[in-house]
Amino acid sequence: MHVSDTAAVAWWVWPIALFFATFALGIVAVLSGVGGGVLFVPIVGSFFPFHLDFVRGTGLLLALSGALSAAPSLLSSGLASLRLAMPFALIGSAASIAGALLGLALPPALMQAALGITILAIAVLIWRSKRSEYPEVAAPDRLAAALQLNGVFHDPVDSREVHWQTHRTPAGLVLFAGIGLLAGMFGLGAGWANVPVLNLVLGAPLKVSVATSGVVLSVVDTSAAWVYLHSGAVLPLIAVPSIVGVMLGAKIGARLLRVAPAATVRKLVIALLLVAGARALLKGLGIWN
Amino acid sequence: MELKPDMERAQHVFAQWLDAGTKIGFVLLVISFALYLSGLLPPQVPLAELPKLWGLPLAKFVATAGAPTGWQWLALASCGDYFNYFGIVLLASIVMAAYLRVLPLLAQHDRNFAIIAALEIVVLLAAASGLLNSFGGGSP
Repeated sequence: MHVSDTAAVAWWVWPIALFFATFALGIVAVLSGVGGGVLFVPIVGSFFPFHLDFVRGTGLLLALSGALSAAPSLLSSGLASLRLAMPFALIGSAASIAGALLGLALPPALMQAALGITILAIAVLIWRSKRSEYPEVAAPDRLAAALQLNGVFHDPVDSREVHWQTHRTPAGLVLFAGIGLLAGMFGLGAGWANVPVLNLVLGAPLKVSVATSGVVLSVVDTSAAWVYLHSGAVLPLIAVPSIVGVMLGAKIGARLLRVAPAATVRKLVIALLLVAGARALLKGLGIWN
Repeated sequence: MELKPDMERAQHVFAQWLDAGTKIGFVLLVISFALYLSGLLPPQVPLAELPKLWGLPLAKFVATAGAPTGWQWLALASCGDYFNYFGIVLLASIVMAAYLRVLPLLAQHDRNFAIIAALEIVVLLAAASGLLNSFGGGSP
């Protein structure tokens, strides 16, 4: 829809539509475990009349809000590890500032096309990625040993204490710098990338990786969110209904978690990402405006 | 998870600060948005004008709407739209506040992590100051 067409629609239609769309995204995000930001930016950026700059600013706040809501209980329960999160959050947050500045400086069409390619790549990553419940880590690297990136957690499913340690810390730092850059540039939450890196590269147990990812995300997205906020890219009429919609949807999603068919939801998310990614790419190339 | 006692305490305090800040931030956000939509606090940009503006690139939007950048929004904080920024800014400040709170705890027992926390605070302060925006798009 062209801007002049959307301007003819009453203003209040859009925040209401946004609320319901983000409510649905919140449910799907929890059921699929991919996070709200990565779904919000391509879908709202492609199918709503808002400029991508405002969508990215809101996407970061939305991902930040979700992470902030979940992090306290995950940290208090001991499932998330602040020790594991801090070094990688530091490198990621510095990179996310650079990404946000870069994203706001690049031409919109280039950003749309790059977003499309990134989202399509994320869809493939989610589709193909494997997860390891308890990765084997023979010995920590020197940096992981120096920082004591290890711990013990109680797994209630198996009723056992799981000792864990990590390795490949330098590779992890480089990857988190890249994740931070992408998160800042496109306003995406980074759970889709944090979890595989923590789990498969560093070797943290899956549950520790998922929980710690939220803590890393809250730090990384905070840094980039400030850049968008200071640039004027946060419109309350877009941001607030989105944040509230996703938060409420996430609560419903958490209740549906036990009964929802996880595999079907995962396929739905991949399909949504493929459609939204293709739409963003075609929009960026000027083929489908 | 079995943690080293110093980190266990820091992690617990960190979680408490995130929890409290997030709850206050959400309440502020909902109240300020209700004031904005109800018209009790008139906005700087009228709601009916927004559909003509939200499709514009950021730089053009800022110029056309006279939107504030950096900390200029504080001068417009009595307007309904920018009153919402209090809640948003609080949500964006919680992590930094939590790091500031745990820094002394870490400094007592774990020098490496105290340095990491201090560096993180520097990064977050740099972002929050708005000074870094002069290096890229949407400069204040």
